[in-house]
Amino acid sequence: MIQHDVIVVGSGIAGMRCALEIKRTAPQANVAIVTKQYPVRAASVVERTGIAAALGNSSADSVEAHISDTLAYGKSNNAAAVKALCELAPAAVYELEHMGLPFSRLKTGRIAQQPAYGHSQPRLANAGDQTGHAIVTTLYGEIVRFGIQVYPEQFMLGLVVDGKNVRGVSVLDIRSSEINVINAKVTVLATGSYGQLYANSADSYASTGDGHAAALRAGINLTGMDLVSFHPLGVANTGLIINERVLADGAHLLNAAEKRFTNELASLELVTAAINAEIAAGNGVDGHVWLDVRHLPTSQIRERYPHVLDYAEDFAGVNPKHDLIPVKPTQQATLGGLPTDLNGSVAGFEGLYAVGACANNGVHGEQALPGNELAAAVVFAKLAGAAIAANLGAAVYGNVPSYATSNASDEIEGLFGQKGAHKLGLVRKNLRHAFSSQSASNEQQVGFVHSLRDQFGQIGLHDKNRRFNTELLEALELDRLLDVADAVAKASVAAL
Amino acid sequence: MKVTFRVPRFDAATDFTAKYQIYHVEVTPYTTILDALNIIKEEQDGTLAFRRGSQSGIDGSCGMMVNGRNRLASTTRVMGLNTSEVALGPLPGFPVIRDLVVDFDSFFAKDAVMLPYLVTDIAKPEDGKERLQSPKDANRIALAATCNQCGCCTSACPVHWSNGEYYGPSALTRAYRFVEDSRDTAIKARLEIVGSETGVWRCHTIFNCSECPKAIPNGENIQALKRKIMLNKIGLGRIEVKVARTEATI
Repeated sequence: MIQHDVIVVGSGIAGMRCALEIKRTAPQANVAIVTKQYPVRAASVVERTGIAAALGNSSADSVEAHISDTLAYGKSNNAAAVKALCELAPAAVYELEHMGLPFSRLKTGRIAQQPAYGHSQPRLANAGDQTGHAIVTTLYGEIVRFGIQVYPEQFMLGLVVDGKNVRGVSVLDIRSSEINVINAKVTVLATGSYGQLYANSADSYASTGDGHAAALRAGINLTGMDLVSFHPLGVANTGLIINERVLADGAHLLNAAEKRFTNELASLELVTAAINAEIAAGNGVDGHVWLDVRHLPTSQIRERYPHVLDYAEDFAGVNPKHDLIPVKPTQQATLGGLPTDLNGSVAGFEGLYAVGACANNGVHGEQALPGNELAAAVVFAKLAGAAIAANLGAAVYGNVPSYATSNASDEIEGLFGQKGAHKLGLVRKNLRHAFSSQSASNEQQVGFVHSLRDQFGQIGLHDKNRRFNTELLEALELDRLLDVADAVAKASVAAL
Repeated sequence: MKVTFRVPRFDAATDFTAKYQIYHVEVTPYTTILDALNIIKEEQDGTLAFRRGSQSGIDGSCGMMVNGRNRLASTTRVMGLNTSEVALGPLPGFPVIRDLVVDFDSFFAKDAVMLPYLVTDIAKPEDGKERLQSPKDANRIALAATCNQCGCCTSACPVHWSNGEYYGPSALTRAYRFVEDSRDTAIKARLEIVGSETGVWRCHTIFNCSECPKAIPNGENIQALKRKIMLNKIGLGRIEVKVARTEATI
């Protein structure tokens, strides 16, 4: 059995920032990261727009303005969390700069700040249009600098829980299918979102809500699971999102008859609803509509949203100067998660913290203001890291119950033994379509998830090889995603 | 359009050579190589092993050989290849774990040797704010900093095939990104690392590595590092002394 003072599950922005803060404030602490990918591949890289912070470099911005924009956009935010976020975000961005993050700059040499939807001031600090990637790479450099141990390609099977005490995690080594228990004084979940529940998702394939499911199985009630936001301009069938600034700059949305059908300058929520309605009315093309930027100057596109050109060419094979771009509403963020305080501590459980997209301290309210997710990931992960480091002296390892290993191995051997007729891929596909289609009511979803859960019990696992078995990995992820789906569907019904 | 995929099946634990398997997939103009692999896995053969991540070419999980060239499966449209036959393979020069999955451990170990973090003796501004950097200086590193470590470049390098100790273009571009950063002052240390026996002098300017999914000119970056080392050695060049910028010197 492996032991670490602190085990962080997930190597995205929140996980790495948290581990780093622990190591920086308590250098003697033995902290390690376990991740199902390699750290630089973490799902945080898909966050392309910037990180929101009232630096005031491009205008006379203020923390107060950031707070009021956030509250206006999120509607039901936790006001204390918003205050902490907006006050600490500038320092968090400066800190990333001090670590060497390659921010885009103004002529003054200061960090540039881009305007964004919902912000009264230009406020997003960015690294080209790959800000999430830049933060991940920069934080990974710090992980190397501080010599923090990382276990790559290890899938977390579950939390090791003894009563109300969390003693670590059980993991599956993807390369060998071996099971290990990592015993820790403190366990931090930083497992990201559950975006893969949706067929049109901007999130990574890795975003399967593993931490959410582990929490549910440990008896933790998740909050805000129905809070999932969609962006109107996903390039059809790709999960890539075109920056909404093209709409403000005069891009048009066209239906199958190549006619405009809505006011493109309305709120993103309304534009999303209008596109869904147009597709539902049978006026779409293969389930999407068209984005028309042909009348916009190419120089403007190249300067303000260069990704439009790349996406259109790489993924749709079209030239936006002459062709229409296929777009449809695409899941962008999931806000539900483990309920935590501002330090990431999960109430009712000893030794458990959650940070990043799998945690919900209420900072975003009903929807996340652009750039606030990245800001929240670094700000609250740092607070959690500091709190963990401060309390580590009193923390103990505690006993690992023997069923931790046997439960994990029962799950794996059970899956290897399954010989049912249902196809794993088909169950997964049906689940994702159920959550993306507009036709199913929330009540229907609850029942549908139930029937898919039954089907999952009758899938067959064809790959019996123990080396890098990606079919096993997908089955484990789908199993967890089904638990998350149940929580989302029930939360949606309750919210009606 | 129906496209034929030829995919090697291999398990390092039991196999000496790969067996090839044929799959047929119906593709649309939008279908990427990764989409096709997903279709194969979901509908035809659950045992095929490959990695996938962001599905948008930004995390570097899905580097593989596509019709003889290293590409990202997620950003390569099948119809863009203009052929009805696609041969896939794992990234060459990396140990294959299984099918299209290769071992990146030594790749990331080499990256860590480059000191892949800012090392500087330029003090942070007293007000706690950002160090200043001109847009021009920021642009010098912007492209190199987008490297997603997919391994396509290092895997395409014939020198790396014959000498596994060679750092390879990806790690060297990482060093270049910090050497060129106006805020980093560890140039000497990094030039020593990249100028060592397993560094830039192993590069024979084949430039396979410049065919990068992110359009990073890796081969050119390596030559720039060589020039810096040489000019410094023969006293014709000087390692630039980097100092804190003020608004007046930007």
